[in-house]
Amino acid sequence: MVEVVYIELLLFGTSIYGIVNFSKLSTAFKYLLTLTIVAFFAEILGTILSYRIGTSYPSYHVLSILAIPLHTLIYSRLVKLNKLTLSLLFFTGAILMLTALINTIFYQSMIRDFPSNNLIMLSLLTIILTLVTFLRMIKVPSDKPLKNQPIFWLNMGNFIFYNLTFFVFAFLNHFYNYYINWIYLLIPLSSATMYTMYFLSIHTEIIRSNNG
Amino acid sequence: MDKSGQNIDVLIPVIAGTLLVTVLIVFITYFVILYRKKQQDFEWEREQFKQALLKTEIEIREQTLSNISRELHDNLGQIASLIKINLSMISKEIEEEDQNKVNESLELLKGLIKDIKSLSVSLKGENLQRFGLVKMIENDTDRLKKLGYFNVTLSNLDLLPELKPEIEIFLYRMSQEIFNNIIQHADASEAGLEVQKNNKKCKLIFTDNGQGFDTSTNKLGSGLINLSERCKMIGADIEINSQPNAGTQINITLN
Repeated sequence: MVEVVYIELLLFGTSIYGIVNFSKLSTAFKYLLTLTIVAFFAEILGTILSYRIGTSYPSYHVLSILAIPLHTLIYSRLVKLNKLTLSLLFFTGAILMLTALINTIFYQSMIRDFPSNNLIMLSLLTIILTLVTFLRMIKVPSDKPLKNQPIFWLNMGNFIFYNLTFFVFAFLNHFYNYYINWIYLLIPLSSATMYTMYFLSIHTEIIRSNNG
Repeated sequence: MDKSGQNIDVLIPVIAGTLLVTVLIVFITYFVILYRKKQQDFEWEREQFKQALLKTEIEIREQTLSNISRELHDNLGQIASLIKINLSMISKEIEEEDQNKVNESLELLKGLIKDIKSLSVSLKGENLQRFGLVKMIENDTDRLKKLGYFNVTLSNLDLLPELKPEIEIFLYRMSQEIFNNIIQHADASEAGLEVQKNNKKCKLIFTDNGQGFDTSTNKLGSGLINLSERCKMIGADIEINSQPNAGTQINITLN
């Protein structure tokens, strides 16, 4: 419960901080802010639904579907890509979003099932995008220290969270019998880590903008 | 489920989890180390490129100055000399009253020819090899004194060690830049250049008693930035000390 409250407060604070400094954010980080706001409402909705109908799954279905295009948009703006790669990225994003939508409507029920398929697709997409971004960062390094680069925090947050998520779903059957409590601890903790890094990312972006 | 199946269910997540965490930690650490190394390499390349660009710019400038120097010497100097000969000839043919005016003009012309020659010498970097750095600086400061900008005191210039020609030209142009800055901005009546030698280091100290500036608030002008960049190129250190109404001191230390 403490983790959930922390995540909700963190998302709320990050959203407000981002909205107040909206004009200072570059397009990629405006999309990140949108993702943060969506995640905040999804978490709040999840908490309400847990009390009302005993499950928070519907909010995660919606979040996982919306996160696919938002991550696509964020990385399309963060990494300079040629037209072909950009088209491929948008095409992949669109296909994955459509598949996630079909999965939610026809396969994994919004009420009964956790959207694991959607999250696996989102994880795969995000891990690939973070790796490509890391590679680009290595190829064309900035003269600023890593801790002052918004792209670094965003990438780290995504990389850690989505690798752990992918791992959890890959070994879910093995986990289920003996380590289910660990999963209930691991996922919120990695979420909290990711959202903290989102905050750092938006914060460093604002500082970067303030410094011209 | 039998016992071995249960063991596998217990073991696999532990092994996989440990592996994943190890991979993540190794990856992140490796990325940070690699990124820092790339940053250093990139910075070094950028610095090399900047220096090459500056060197080319300086070469072009030297070439241009050399051309101007030649033009001054060959054209303007020659024309002035011809005018001097003509005036000398005219002065013999005219009445005594007008002769004084022509003689005055002749004196002015002699001064002009001397200034043109002096300016031509200081503009041509190749003259450094001919006359040496000390002589060239003395030539410049003499000219500044004559033109009445300020009084210049030179001390211990003979302590200057023998330097590579490319370093000499940098030092010479820097000294010109500094004296030029004093003319343009300092409003000084006294300026000085002193050489101090200590172990393997040689320090050139340029001073003036002009209006100075606040080094903590004032942004360095392009002239001072040029000086810093030139110093970097020859591996010298530069230190600029100044305060409003307390003059300026620029130390250039050759390592």
